[in-house]
Amino acid sequence: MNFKIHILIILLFGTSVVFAQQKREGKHTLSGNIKDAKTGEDLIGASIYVEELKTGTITNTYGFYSLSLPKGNYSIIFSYTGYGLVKKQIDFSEDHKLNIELAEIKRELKEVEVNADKPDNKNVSQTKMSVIKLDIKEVKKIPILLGEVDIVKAIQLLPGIQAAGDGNTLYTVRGGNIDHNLVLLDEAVVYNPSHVVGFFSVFNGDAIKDFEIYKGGIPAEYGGRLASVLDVHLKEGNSKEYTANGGIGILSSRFTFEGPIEKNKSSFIVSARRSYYDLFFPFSKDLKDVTTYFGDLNIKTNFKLGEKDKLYISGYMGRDKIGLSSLLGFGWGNYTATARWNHMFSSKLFSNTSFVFTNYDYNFDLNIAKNLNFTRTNQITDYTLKTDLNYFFSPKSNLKFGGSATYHILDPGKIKPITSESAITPDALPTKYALDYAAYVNHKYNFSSRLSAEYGMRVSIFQNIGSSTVNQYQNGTPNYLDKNYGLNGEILISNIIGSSYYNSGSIYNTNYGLEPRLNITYLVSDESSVKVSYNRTFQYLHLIQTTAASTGQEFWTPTDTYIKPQMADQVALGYFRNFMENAIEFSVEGYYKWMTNTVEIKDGADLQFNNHIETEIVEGKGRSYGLEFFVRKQRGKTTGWLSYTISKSERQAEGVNNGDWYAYRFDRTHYLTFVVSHELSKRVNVSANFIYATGDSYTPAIGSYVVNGLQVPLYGDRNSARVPNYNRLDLSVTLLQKKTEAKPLWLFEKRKFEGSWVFSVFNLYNQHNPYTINFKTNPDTGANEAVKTYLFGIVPSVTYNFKF
Amino acid sequence: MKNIILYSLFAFIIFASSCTEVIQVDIPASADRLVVEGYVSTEKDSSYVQLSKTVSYFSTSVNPFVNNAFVKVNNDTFFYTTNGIYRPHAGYTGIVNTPYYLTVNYSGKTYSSLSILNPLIKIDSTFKFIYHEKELIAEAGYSVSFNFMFHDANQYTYFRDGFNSPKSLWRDSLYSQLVTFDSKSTKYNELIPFDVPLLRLNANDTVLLMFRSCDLNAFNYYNALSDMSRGGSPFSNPPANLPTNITGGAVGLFAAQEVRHFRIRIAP
Repeated sequence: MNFKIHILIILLFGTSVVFAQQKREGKHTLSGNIKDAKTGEDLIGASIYVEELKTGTITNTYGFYSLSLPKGNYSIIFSYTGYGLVKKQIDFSEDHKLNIELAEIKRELKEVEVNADKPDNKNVSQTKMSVIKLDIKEVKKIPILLGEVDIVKAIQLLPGIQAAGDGNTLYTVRGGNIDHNLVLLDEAVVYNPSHVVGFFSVFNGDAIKDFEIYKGGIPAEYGGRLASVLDVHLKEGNSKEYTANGGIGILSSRFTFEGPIEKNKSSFIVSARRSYYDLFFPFSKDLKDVTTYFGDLNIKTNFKLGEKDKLYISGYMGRDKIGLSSLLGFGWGNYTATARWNHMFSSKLFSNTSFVFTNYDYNFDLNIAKNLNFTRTNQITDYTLKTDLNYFFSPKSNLKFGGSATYHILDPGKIKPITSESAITPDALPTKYALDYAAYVNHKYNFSSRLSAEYGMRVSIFQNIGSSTVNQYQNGTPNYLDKNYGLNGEILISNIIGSSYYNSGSIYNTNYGLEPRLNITYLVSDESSVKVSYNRTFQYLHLIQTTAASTGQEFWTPTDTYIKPQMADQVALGYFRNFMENAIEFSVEGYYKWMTNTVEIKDGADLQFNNHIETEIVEGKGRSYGLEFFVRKQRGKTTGWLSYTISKSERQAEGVNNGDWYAYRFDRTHYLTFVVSHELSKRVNVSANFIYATGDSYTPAIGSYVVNGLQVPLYGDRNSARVPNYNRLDLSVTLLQKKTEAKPLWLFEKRKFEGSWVFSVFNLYNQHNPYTINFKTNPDTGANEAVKTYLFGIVPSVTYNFKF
Repeated sequence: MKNIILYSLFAFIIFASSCTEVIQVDIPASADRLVVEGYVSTEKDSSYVQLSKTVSYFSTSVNPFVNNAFVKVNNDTFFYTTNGIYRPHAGYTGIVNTPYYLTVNYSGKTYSSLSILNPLIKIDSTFKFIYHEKELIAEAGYSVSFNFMFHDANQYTYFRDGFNSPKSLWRDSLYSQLVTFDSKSTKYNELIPFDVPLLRLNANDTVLLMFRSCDLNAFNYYNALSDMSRGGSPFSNPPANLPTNITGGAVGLFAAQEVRHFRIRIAP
């Protein structure tokens, strides 16, 4: 512990030294925002480069930048990927405020100030590793299941990130569990990022401005999950003109409308999607009684409150419903709301204060008979207040610090009858309350032109709050090993011997963690670098899920008296090299990750409506390691990437496989993806992706026996066998229509209509990739069989997209 | 009242359009295990222990019975009869609120188990038959309903039915319905009406309703058995072996049960 405290003191001391130096040097500051010239959207991560000093900075999440330099005259280049750069001569004899607008590259642009876009070496030079950012325009070219643009499906094609099943939007990162991924939408946690049992994600591609995923080297500002952070930002809305766009697909459609509230000062965006594939179900013999749909709505608006203040308000609502006539049904929904206030204390100190609301709920209804029916609900609600401050000392030094407090309310289950005749009595599992605090400091510093580092510390505290009844167990643990029973001579036993009651508002359990973060980059040359990172992460909320598909049956449970916080330590080493003047990026990263207190589900666990869930899970350990190779070409007529990961992910828990290490369910030794997009002409684009992966691990039946007149399987060790290897090829063709001009209509002054057809084929050669393997007795022959279930054969789709 | 929640029905519905294929897979070899299925019943001469062995999963051979074991329940020796079945002396009857200890000696190993013979919940023998038109997934016909009562908060039982129709033969087994009950989500000391889910009968059919008390081990076993018998799917829980209350590495169940049967004819 002392060692950890020393690290924190050194960190804070180092930061204050830099602060003092800064003051003495008497520098002047250039600050402002960088925006898209056409829409007025803030550009995140735009580059500001000082030619003479060969140094610079980038814009933050809100498009703000600040650059402090010694007195002098400098050429400053403002640039952003896919946009023309702007060069300005700035006299740093006093502080300046300069807002810049960059224009997206179009062939017809020939303004004097706008030069051709050149690839930069950001992937090599940035003090970050294990982070990948994809341009949403590139994502839209990737052929996806049923033509629905999906950022989550796109990231699953990147090294180290793998889908949790065919067509599934749930994913694992570097051997972590499905719930080890923090998914943020405008700072709000999205607890279930899935629609339609996982086939689509909740992210509407038309409403998204920018996203990036961290799978290691996670900055200290992020916390709460072990493996990764997917940080998604919604568009703010066009502040210059009204526009609309959308898409009409076979199974779902979407529409987005955006425009200024007050030109160049405030704007809004509304984006909605709704599926209608259930309209086709009446034509299917098997599905005629099935009702299912999803819908979601994104809303965002922003107001400039003055030169130093800006307010953003955004929200997301999404709902899924699946049912069979009135017999049964289930559904779930995510609701998020974020209010953010940007304030510039000075040209160097930028702050953002956010209030975030998140709610995730699901319901399950069963209505077998008049006297046998019920509805069961479950939900988690968070209220978060957080502040982030960003102090731009100099191009060499950038300090971020802040804190957050979240109040969690978890309703693990309520059950009530649907009709008064029902034999089911109303019941509710006790609501669980928790407070989650965090404070962090993160400093980026360039020690020289070649050596830079980003280091930080996060302190997280999690407290359980009453009212609550905590069970007491025999041997002091909810699961103790009984060596008498069990197929392998041991079995986990739970025995409640009493309970303790804690009053409302009382804190009855506290956990905390110190989470050091470190990234170091050494530039070997302008085209190559070596990077190393380390991060420790804690996770205090745990998803209890047994199935690979998201069914709404899964639920979140907090760390408490018996369930410890999960913790992971990860080290990574990488080599980054660009070729052909940065046109081709190459990287190889190796990582090793240790996980402790992982939540492992007991064999045959009873998870539904269980008031002592701690008896159904066991504390485990995890380890994963691998090598990731990545080659990407982002410019030119042909773009795409090739990614290959070789890895291993294992778990160990008392009472599972006799305590031996075993393969994680989604442990895949080899994972290869190839994504390519080629512009055949100005109006025709062809894209394809290919995936090859080692088959998932599963638990095989090794024997069989007869009890109660039934033939039942005897299963072997958990995850001791492999399903056949996975492979799939997808293809899409995009046909752009000619732009047509039309007379102004209503709010749309300069009406240019753009349309495109997207024809795509998922699983082109109709590979029957296994989703699960089950062991069953054939009712006709009586023979035992291994039965593969596959979800998708070849799936063609067509979507018409429009914009005006 | 857990098992009436037919979660895996989803799997069939949602994935009705998905496809299945029988595939060849390599499975590890497994050693034979002893299979124990033993019951002590309050019905006279109905108690028995059946012993057999597991076989490799894809084996086409029948599970072999075990005929040379020594079987004892409390102080009563169970003697081999046929088909792996061991029975006690004539007139043997289980007694409510008694613990029963099973000992099996076989092939130099000892296997043991304990089951408490708990009292059965109260069943009101006034059964009702109501005719229903075809609805949802239930065929047209007479439903069967009855009232039952739990006496305290930790009671477990399970129910099965079988029926015969003038047009069909008796069913040998009673696995058409297996419903487990616990008193967790149910009122107790109060009669609760219950419709046998989805059971629809014709006039003149005879229905056999069988209620058995059980302890927590048997309750968990029957829940798991019911889950397993519905088959796996992408939405199913991960595969897991049936729980067992037999020590020594055997599989199966030893259960002491109070049993009541009701045989009723559906009068038109």
